Amino acid sequence: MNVGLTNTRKLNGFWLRRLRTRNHSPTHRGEPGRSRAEVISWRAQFRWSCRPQDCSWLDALTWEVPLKIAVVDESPARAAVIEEGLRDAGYSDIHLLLERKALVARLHDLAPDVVLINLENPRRDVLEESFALSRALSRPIAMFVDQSDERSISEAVDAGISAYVVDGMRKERIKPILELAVRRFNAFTRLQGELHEAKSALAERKLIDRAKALLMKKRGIDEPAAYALLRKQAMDSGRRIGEVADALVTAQALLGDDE
Amino acid sequence: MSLLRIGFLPLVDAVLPIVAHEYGLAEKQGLKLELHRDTSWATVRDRLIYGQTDAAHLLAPLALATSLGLDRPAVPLAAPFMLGLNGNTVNVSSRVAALLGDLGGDVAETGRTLAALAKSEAAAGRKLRIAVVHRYSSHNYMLRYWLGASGCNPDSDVDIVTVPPPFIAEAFALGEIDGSCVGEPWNSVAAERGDAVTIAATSQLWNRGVEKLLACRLQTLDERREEMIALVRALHAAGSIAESREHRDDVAELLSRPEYVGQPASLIARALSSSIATRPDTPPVRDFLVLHREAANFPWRSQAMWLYSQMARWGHAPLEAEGFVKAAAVFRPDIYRAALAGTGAILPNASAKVEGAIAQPLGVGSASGRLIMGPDRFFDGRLFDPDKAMEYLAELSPTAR
Repeated sequence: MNVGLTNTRKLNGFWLRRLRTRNHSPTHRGEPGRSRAEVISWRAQFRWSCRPQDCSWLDALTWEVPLKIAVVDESPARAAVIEEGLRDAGYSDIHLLLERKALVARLHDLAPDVVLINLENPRRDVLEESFALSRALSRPIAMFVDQSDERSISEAVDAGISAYVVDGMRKERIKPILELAVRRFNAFTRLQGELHEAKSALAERKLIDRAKALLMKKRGIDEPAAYALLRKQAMDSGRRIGEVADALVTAQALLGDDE
Repeated sequence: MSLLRIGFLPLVDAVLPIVAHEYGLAEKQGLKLELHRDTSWATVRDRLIYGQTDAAHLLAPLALATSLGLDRPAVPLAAPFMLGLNGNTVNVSSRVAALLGDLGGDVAETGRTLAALAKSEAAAGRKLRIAVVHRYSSHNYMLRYWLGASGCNPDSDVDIVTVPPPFIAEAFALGEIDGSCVGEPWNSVAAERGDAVTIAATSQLWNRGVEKLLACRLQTLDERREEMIALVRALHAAGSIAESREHRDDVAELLSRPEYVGQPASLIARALSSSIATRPDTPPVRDFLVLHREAANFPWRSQAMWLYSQMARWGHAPLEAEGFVKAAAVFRPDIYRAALAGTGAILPNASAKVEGAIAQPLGVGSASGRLIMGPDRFFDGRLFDPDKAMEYLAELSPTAR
């Protein structure tokens, strides 16, 4: 354990000295080691400003530095669900981008390692254009992971997510994030579906109650009889009770009789 | 009955799959269609290549880029059927329209005036921002072709940005863009709101410009060839309905429904009429959108190659002879012919032609049907001979490269 830690420190020290020379930054030359935050932000900027083949060594240097993840989603609830999942899994550097405005500029400033975005987001073409330009300016961004992992990409598309990853990143680092996002996305969709069902079931029950009340008043019958009448009408006409109740309440509203 | 899922974007030129579905033409061919509306081309493409859809309404250059693997790992696509030619306009903001002053009806003259303004605005540090719908779109390449031939460099004298078509009107209103080249109904929506003025139609830049196509994975074509052939037949039948005068209002009404385009039927009907007035004081542009006639649905390999020439010209694709071959192979006239043989449809003999060579309507050799091709000229009179594609690229003047 100790040995590993020392090695890492040594490694970092070595690379940091190299970085300073590469960086040509006189202010940093000769300073003692950089802070963790500095390394993280430097690393992100570096990735966005160099060719992929030049930054493959970055992973060796910064394997202990957390990935910076951007979640682009116009649904704040879903973005929060994904963020929570990522935090639970130990990722801490997560940024939610919920607004349409200046998305590309904000992403550029943020310089994330991974961008997760919902498939339905209309800004995807704008984003891809900016990534294509980034590549032309030697700032590498790959769409999705890589070809060798078509299955997990296909699952992401099925779930409704698209991912963009800084080129040169090791696949093993990305895969768990994508899988987690897929699980969370699916869970959110399911929850939304259940909520919708619950809402419509509640609305239908209210409708049936109103139809029953109408029948009880007009026909002078009790509740079980009113319900039986609705059910019979539904069976005879091959419709759901809710639909019959809806028709009755609508007709009542149109005819304008006082309830 | 086999099920085919088709992805599309809310645009007037998604009309053929919609009509094939709604008028029961697909059903006649033993197909059940399920149409998936999306909000970005990236998502239409992703659903297609990851198998959530079986075919898609797609930008022709995007189909080439996907097959060639320009931005992501290559997925070979096949395009057996074109969904229409042209149908886009170039709009500018009211401010730019005022700066351009009085424009005549001559598109070359308008181009020179616009290019001169673009250069002076750039010199003053106010580069014009012109929106297109996608990097790999005919809109982008037609706009660049126009600007390039009119004396300005679209890479350095203007900023060409991507804006999704439904946001174009809003972007004009907020002053975020100075111009746009987008398909209908979105240009008309911006013009109707009074925030933009139409100055040209792409059909004036290239009379028969390649636009959207029906794309499927090459793998799907191999595995489900008969169904794809049935789909081509259904779409071909849809073409004559979509272009006929008697059905125009019905079709426009259909497209205006929220699940399809969701914009006023009056704007859609105008685009379908194929004749659009760019300005009240100029005569309407004819053949604005050619959906079906003159074998417009035939996938001419030379059209794919012209697109590739532009992609290479602007550095979006490698400048190599092999690229032209690969691009041409995406277009599948063989499938078109196999599908429509014996149906009375017009079947051209050739698979490629010199683009831009027809000035007057011309009879062209066809295996069946009588094919009269309308003018297909580029506004600057240049010809694209697919046998001399590399020479064509070399010829384009240095300022325009």
